Amino acid sequence: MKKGEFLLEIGCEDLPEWTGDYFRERWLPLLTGELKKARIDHGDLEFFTTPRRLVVFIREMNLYQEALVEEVTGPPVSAGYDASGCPTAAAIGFARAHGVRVEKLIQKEHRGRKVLVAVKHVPGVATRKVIVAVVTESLMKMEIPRAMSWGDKRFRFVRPVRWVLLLLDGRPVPGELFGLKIGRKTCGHRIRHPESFSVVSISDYLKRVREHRVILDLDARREKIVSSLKESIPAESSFDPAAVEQACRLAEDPIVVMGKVPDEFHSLPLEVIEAVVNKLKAIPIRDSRGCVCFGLVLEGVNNDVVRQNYEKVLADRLEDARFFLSQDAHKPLKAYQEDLRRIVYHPRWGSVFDRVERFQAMAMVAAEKIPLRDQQRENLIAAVNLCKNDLATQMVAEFPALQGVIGRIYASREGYPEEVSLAIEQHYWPRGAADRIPETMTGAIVAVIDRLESFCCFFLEGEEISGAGDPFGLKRAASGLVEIIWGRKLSLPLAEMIEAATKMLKPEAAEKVREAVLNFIRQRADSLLAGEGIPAGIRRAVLKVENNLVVVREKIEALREFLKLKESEGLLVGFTRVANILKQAREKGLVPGVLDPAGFQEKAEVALYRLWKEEEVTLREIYQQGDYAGFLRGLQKWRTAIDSFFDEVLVMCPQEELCRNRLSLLQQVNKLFLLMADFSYISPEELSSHASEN
Amino acid sequence: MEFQKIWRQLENFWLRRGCVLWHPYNVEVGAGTLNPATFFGILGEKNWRVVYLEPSVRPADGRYGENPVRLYLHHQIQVILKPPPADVQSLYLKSLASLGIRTAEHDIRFIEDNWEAPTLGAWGVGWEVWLDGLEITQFTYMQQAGGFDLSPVACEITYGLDRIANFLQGKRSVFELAWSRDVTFGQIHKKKEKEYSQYAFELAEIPFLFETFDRFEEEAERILKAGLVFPAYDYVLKLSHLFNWLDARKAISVSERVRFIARVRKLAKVCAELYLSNPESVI
Repeated sequence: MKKGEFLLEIGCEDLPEWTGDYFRERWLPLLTGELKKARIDHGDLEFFTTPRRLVVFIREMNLYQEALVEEVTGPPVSAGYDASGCPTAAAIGFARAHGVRVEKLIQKEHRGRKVLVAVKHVPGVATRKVIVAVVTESLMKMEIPRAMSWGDKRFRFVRPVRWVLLLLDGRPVPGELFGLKIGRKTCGHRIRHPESFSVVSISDYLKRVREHRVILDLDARREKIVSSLKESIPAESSFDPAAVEQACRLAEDPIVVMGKVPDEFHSLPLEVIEAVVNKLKAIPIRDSRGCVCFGLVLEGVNNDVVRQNYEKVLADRLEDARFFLSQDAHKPLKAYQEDLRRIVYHPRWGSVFDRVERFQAMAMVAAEKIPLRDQQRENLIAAVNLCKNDLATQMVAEFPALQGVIGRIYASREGYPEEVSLAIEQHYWPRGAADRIPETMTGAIVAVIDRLESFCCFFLEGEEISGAGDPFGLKRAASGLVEIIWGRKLSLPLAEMIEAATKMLKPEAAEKVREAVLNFIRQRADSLLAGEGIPAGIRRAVLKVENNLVVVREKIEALREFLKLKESEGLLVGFTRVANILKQAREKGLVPGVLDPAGFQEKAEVALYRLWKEEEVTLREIYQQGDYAGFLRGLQKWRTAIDSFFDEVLVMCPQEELCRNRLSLLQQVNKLFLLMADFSYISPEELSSHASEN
Repeated sequence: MEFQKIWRQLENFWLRRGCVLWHPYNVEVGAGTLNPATFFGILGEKNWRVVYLEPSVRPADGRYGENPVRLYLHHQIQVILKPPPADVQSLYLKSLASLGIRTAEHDIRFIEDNWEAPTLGAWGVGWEVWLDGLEITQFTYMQQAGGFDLSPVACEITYGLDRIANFLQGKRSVFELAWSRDVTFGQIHKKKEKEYSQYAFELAEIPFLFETFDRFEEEAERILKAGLVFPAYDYVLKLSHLFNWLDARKAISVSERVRFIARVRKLAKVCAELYLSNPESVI
């Protein structure tokens, strides 16, 4: 098959910085999907974006569609031929309708009947004739947030499309995209080389575009920014990689120029300076003095006037920030609590002030249960009371990204213990996947309270969270909650805390909300564990019996180690048999009796009873101490006893009393096992695959 | 370049490109978009190009004339191009060049910014334009107004005249700007800024404003029932301005805010509907 190059450039007015990543993720699969549907075979796809272009290269694309072989089922064979075996009118008509000669019809089984089948060969047409439709279709299928039109209502895109370059095998494809005639023309950097020019191939395009001061490749732009930053700053300085990611998406020809933060502002809090620098889409640079300089990323220009102008804008904004800081200082952080009444959290769930009141009730329950000592308790109460106050300050109104940070700065300025001021900032952590969890214990507890309360509100009206998405960020928040609990080993009375909050929202829903929230959190824990590769059986076995997430984690670790041992498998079979026979008995309506040691007949059941009697107290003690590995080790000696019991004793014997006595022994044994986990969830297959993994 | 010459120059630039020269509106507005020349101009199917200065009143932005850039009343040059020409971005850059800004020597950026005017049921997609980090223009492809999809779409270019003049004259404070050769911006506006700020933040009588709001709303409804678009729309503007005063006085809580905005939007929608039922005038 003859192949040629495919080159597409969609030229736009300035695209928002998210566009490239968004299209890479969503459009490319659509485009390859449409190519496949159109039977156009092709090699690898390369994708480039700049603030003004979306570019696709496919260096090898078939210039013709693959032929299509299609089978169409027709009338039954019985109706297709007459007694003499000649085709009937039905067969002839069917063949004609599908462009096949009647003698070429074949016979196939279809839904239990023999039918006539026409095999159609649809030859492929030239890719050139269908490629525009393919590209159009892939773009039409894109869901674009805030899609806009720019004149003609037929076309919608992220920003206006102004030119379309589409070459196949070196020639422009006839047709239109977004109402624009497709051509071979593109243009250079808007300011440096605005002229348009024609290209004949991918390599020609790459060369010419570069000559016209456009760096097509995001990685190359990032590299350019990073290397010039590194050249301009001392080795001990650092810069924020997120700011670089933003900057390289906002210029076709990024040029880094170093700017200075005027001396008079150096005394402002570091985060405030950095936030102001960020607002200018510049890159804050940190060294031992704080943030005293920044990397400006300019679009294709480099001169002192521009730098000075930026510094002036920066100075104005820093001046504003200083003004807001001084305005905010007119009253203590504590006094902002009253202003939280004005900030609506949600029409149904009240103001932020109402939230904080719920936080307080939850904190009291937590402090009681953990329990916290005097100073810790005071810290927690102070942190809960103050944690949202900065939302009412002018600084956070102006720099929303600084929520928590401003609270921390103000609290520390006012002499609150460090534990409290840090907790105010850290209760927002982790802010996303892979972010750190709060470092302070108080911050961790407030973070859990904050999240838990928001779940209570959400589940209040019986809303459900289903499906893969996370539109309200609740799944992310709940995963964060679980990560905090595990990372800081926080044994919190979640159920009671939920009740404390729900009582203040809608007392009659307390029980429903508690179950919904706990269940939701358990699901997130389960999914985090699954992400770590813990098999489903082990996860369920533990989550079924254990509510305390810290203990869940410890048990799972102990179980993983335990199940690696060869002997465990046999033991597990024993556990499962105990659980299953109890289940069968329940289904038959057999109730275990009162355990009567004198009533046993067989040696094996006496042995099992003795073992239980000897071991129960010790094992419970080991369990109470949280030594789950020790508990599991202790269970090892039960294997022989359980095996012989099942070999020698018929539990479901005809003598009802005896049967019930045996069931009651098994129930006691099972109760002991269930302390740890419901082993019946762990299947032997999982166990063997788990053992072999390690 | 004097303040008044920048103003004149931008108007001339767009007049040469087919815009009608219009005037600031005689009811207070918070932005040039509220001027009937934009609100009604962008509705319907007709083509429309217009340029005008709009003194925009934003009570909450008042700073008693003491802040170098924040103002109770700031000056916008408003341009509407409907439908937008394909080279609208480069036309805009040319308009900057016509002010003597050498665009090749500056960092000009179009930073994503989607604009919304909830009281008008209007929104659009576009950018803030930055000139060496200074936000000098709001550039918007308007998609809806009065709750109606716009077809064709209109492009709205709103220059921040005070900012641009600051940049061109190299002043840090607007009050130092040369309005003309002999008169400064400060001489014209400083005292006004102080008085209006005092009024908006301290003196405006809240119960009176609330009551007026209710009365004006009734009046607008009454006029609309009689089928008159333009007098009713003037009341919509007055309501929007009253709302801004109440907002500056922090008299409206966040939850009430949504309701007040909805009241104004409802009337704006009816105005748009009525206008579209018989669009015999251009604006």
